[in-house]
Amino acid sequence: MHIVTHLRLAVMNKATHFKAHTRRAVSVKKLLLLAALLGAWVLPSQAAQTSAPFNLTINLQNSSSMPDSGLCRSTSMIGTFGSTMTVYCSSGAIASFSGDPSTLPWTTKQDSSYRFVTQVSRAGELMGTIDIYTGGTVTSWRVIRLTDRDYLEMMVHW
Amino acid sequence: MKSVQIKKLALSSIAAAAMLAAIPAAKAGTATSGNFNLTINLTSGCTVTTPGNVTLNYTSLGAAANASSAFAVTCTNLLPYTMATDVIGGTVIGLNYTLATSAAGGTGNGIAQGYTVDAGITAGQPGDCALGTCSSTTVHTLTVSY
Repeated sequence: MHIVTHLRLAVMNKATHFKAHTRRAVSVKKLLLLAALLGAWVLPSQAAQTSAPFNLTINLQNSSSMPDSGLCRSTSMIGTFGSTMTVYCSSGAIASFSGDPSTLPWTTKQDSSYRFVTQVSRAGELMGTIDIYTGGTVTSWRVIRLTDRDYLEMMVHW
Repeated sequence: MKSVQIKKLALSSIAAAAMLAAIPAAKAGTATSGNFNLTINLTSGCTVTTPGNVTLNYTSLGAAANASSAFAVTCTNLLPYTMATDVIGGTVIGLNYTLATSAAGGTGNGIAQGYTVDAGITAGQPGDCALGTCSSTTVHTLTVSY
């Protein structure tokens, strides 16, 4: 009698376990459905995108390939006492000026009162001399030596 | 005698009126109506044209170089959007460059709205180049989000 009761209990336990398993499966299904619905609701609100590729090309010209004129020039459109400019020369050609050239009171011009002639050496050969006709003052200058070229940086104050 | 004639005339008139009244009813038939819904679902969107190549020509230790290339964005009316390039800068052949769009975004008006992709290299950079000239091309992506 005791054994029969125990068996019946075991059977009942199996049935209960099956029901619980079924209930759990339904819950998982419900969760999945809810997740799908939530996803469908969320997706349209996400930012859509459209894109287009493009190329960026950078061409670098080595300044040593510039002609060796051995001359850097600027005009003397003074009027800004205390202004300072920096002239970069590379193998005698003007490479760049510090600041915005349009705001500086001078432009590059031949036979002007300011005349900068670079002294450039390459492989031991002198390419030019420094020759300044100016009312300003050269506050500092330096020759920057790179592997394939030297160039002059000059600070002129007036 | 006259009153009989008048009565006959009146009866005739009534009969004629009744016949006339019956005619329109026969022409119109039976009318019925029903309402229905028309639903239009609009999916907002944007299109963007491909910018042309952006080319920067730079002289070593030289002045700053800048270049731009135009593109157009067309979006649904009133739809706000943003634009960006995949990077805002980088380094190639030893030169640091910047990359940006001319505006961060806008609002769609149904027609093409013009912008530019802007690239730049600041002055005074030496770069890396063992020859007289060197060149490097990188592919970038312009993305419009809405």
